[in-house]
Amino acid sequence: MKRVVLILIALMLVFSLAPSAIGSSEAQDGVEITFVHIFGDENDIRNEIVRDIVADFTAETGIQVNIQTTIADYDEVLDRTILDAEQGDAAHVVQLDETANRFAVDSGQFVNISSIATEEQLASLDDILPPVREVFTVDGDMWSLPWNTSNAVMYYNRDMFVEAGLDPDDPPQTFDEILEACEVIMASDLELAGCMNWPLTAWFVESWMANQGALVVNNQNGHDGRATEALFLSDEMKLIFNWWKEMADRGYYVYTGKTVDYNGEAGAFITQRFAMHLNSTAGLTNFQYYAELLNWDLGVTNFPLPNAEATNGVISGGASLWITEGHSEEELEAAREFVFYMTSAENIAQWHKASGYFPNRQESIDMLEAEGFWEENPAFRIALDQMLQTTPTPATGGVILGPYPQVREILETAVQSVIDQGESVDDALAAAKQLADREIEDYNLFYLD
Amino acid sequence: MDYLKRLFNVLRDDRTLQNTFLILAGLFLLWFVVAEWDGLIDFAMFLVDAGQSTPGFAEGVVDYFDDVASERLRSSLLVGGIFGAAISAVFLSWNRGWLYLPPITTDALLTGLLVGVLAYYTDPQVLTVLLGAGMTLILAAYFYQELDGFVVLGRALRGVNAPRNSLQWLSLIPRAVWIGLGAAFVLAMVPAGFWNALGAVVGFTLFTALIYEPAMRAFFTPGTLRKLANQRALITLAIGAGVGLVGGAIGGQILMYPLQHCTYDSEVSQVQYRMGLALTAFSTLILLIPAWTLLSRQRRSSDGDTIGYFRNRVLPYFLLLPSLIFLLVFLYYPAIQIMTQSTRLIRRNSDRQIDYCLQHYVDLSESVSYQRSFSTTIWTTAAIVAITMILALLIAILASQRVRGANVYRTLLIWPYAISPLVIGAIFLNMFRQGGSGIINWALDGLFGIQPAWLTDPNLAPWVIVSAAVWNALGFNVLFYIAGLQNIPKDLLEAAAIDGANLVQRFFRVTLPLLSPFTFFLLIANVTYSFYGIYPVVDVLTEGGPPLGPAGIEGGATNVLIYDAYRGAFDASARVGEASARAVILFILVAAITLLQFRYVERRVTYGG
Repeated sequence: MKRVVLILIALMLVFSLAPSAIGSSEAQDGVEITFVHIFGDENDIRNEIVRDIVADFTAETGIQVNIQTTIADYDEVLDRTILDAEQGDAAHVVQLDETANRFAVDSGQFVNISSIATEEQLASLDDILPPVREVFTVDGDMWSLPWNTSNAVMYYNRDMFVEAGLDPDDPPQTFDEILEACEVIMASDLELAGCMNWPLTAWFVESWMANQGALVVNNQNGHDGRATEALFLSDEMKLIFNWWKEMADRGYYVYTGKTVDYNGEAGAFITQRFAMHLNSTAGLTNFQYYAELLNWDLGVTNFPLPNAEATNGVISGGASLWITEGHSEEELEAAREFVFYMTSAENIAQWHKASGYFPNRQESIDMLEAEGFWEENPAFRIALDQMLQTTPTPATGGVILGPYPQVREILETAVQSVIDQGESVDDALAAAKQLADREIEDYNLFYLD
Repeated sequence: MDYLKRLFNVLRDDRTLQNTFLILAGLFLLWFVVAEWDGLIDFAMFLVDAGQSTPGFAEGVVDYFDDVASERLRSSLLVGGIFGAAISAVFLSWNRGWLYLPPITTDALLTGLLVGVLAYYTDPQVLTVLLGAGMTLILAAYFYQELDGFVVLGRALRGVNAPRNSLQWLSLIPRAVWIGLGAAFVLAMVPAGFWNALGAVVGFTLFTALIYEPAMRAFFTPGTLRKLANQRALITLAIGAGVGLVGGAIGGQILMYPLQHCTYDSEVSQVQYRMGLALTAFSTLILLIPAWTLLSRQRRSSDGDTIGYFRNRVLPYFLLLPSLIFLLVFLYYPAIQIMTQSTRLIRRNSDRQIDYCLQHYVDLSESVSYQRSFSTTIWTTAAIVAITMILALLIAILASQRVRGANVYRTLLIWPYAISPLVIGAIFLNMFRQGGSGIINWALDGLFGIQPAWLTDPNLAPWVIVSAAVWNALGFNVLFYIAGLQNIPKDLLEAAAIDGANLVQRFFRVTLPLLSPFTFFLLIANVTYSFYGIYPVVDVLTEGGPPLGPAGIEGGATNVLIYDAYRGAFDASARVGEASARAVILFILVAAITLLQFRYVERRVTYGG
């Protein structure tokens, strides 16, 4: 009996090794590249769409693309790519978010896509919306191609608005209006955990700064040379923190206790514990799906503005596709074709319909317009309109900063210390500036030539 | 007149009092040496310089040392040599039985720890008052006794010969006084602070060990002193000092050479310089300990037990080779690399490297946030270990009862151990989330209408971590205790029962002692787990928060050392040098704790037989 078990185990081991062996022998002919993206959840509809687009690409070009998915966040993808690159076997194409821009360039592990693109491909970059182009330009070049770009919008529960006696067709648009609406909602009979929730992330802080045309770091948010100082002590920043504190103090804003907890906060909103919710447009399809499943009426509107005058526009968040260093000429060419294919006008349009990421190419917008997609799905249009109404300035062009993830974490801790531990806004921002300046100074010492 | 005579008698007869004065004098001397170290070095340098005028061999040596580049090396050799000579002389005297070094008892260790805690948390003024009161008390007690006072009270106060049945608790008072004295000493000599408190723990442990060791008295008898002064002793001392001088000077370079003797640079701060002294001292021991072993080795008798010895001298090393190679490549080499890295400023993906000497360690020791991490780690570890082991024992006892389906329960109980800490973190996050999405708060809100801030309250968050860690480690502990309980011979329990021991007595007198090998193993495993294993749980649940101070400038309430080290170590732009320094400190801490456990806890372990 024991022997039978042992033989079985041995057989299982052999078979578990087999597929990888078969897989590698199969790819002898033709070029093979690897692509890493973060929509690894099998239930994520975006995972499927990527698979379809990649299959089309292979059918068209004969280039084999191995998709490696993960459910880790962008920071971890960057860390892992850099580690792999040090060992000399990084994936050819990886998806990194905008916080990685400066460091990815400084690390020397990535290829400048603009420098290897053909004339024709370079010309096609002009089609990308100017504010998006601004975000993904480092040192004057587009090193990576923006793929899944999003911005933040406000989701709300129309049923609850009706029950509280608010007009669901006229949702609050500014900080003050939200406070007023929350007062009404919290006074109603609704059983809520709070009036409004959102993931505690510095991304929203940056968006609100962009709305007001204010900079987060000096040297024009790092677009005009290296940033050397965090600009956290501005009135614009204090306005955001004070409002957030007031929301929390009055019990209107409640979060899960964990920072950047997109899933936790969205879950509480979907299960009707909150009346309003801020999140990326990227989740639009998922929100619509769950609202229908749980039988309530979802409303989507503009991201709230700090005040009525703050109409400068929003920052485009999201991610772009990068090509790593250290591959053969052939593979590099294949990777280049692949990233341009993924971000072509047709695929960006298809991508938008499946996910809610806004189309970042003018040609895609024209296509969708002609198709009449937005007439049937007006909610999908909001993010795009926010983007089209944005004035391209350094404030809306995002932050180009080496220790960007670290500085975001510092801002998030500052928010936590204000809303949970009762620190004053001035103290928290002064301390955050001190910590962020130290990070920036140290970074510049090590990564500047 | 009579009183004065009695007072003189007290001073003459009371060894404890005499020892106290001697030790205080010794400590003062030590303090003087440390505080005036620069002056002493200058003096030694002066002596070396004086030799410059003599021609010949001395001139050659001096020329060599006079090279400006080797100035640091010169200091390093000198420090290593002096320390080596001193410690070797002391060690050899001890080894030959001429010097008595007291064993560090658990009592002394506890007292030392108490002093440390006091020194850390109490403000100096309060301690001065405590000290004054304590001194008055102890003096009053002495005079009360000697001047025909209440003899029993006086003796009890000194903790000697007190009647067993009454007033024994009073012997705690002198101990308390020592605590006060020690803390006051620390505060008077060095500025208050975390690391000084840590120093106080070590210092006062030794101090108390000396005071309370009855055998200490033996050292001061005329017989011992005579023995010490005889010729053979002096010769051995001279040899020891000579070997120590050379060995120390060379051994000191083992760790100082990789550092390029940077702590002996004239530019470095006082703190770094002292750290360098300690490192040199430690480095000399690497060479001196084998040297002492050779010097004091007893020849093995030829008719002794030869079982378990290899006849061939080369073969055992050959057999050890495979595992040695693996250890070298995967353990020692990375460990040494981490130690070298910790003396540089390094960031991943940057070609720039800056020599930083021991400044990382100085920075960490001065960082408020790191000190918080330190104390958080200590207390959460204590909580995790204690709760896990007590719970595990209780559960194991229940699971060992003969009930239907006991095997099923046992299997289920062990399961949490099979889950990765990361998954445990995720499970606990879903339970303890706030803001309308956690299960626990949903239940508590429904039942009692309360919603504790599990993750954002600095007082609650560490307990969430502790409970997740306990749940993770519980299965493993239960497994061992069940095995242990099954091994306990039934006849012993029966014999105890026949002798009239009740259930509680049988448990504490028979079961618990017989479980001690398991308890000891689990203690070490749990301490190591709590130090190293809870990183994923913290990462998923709190990420080191909730923040302390504005923007978390004073650290985080769950920012335990291992999380602190990990967080900065694996980013794409990680501060490799600083993270290495954190790793080294953590390693030293765990190594020290494990050593202490082997020293003090294993003694109480009975392996039977």
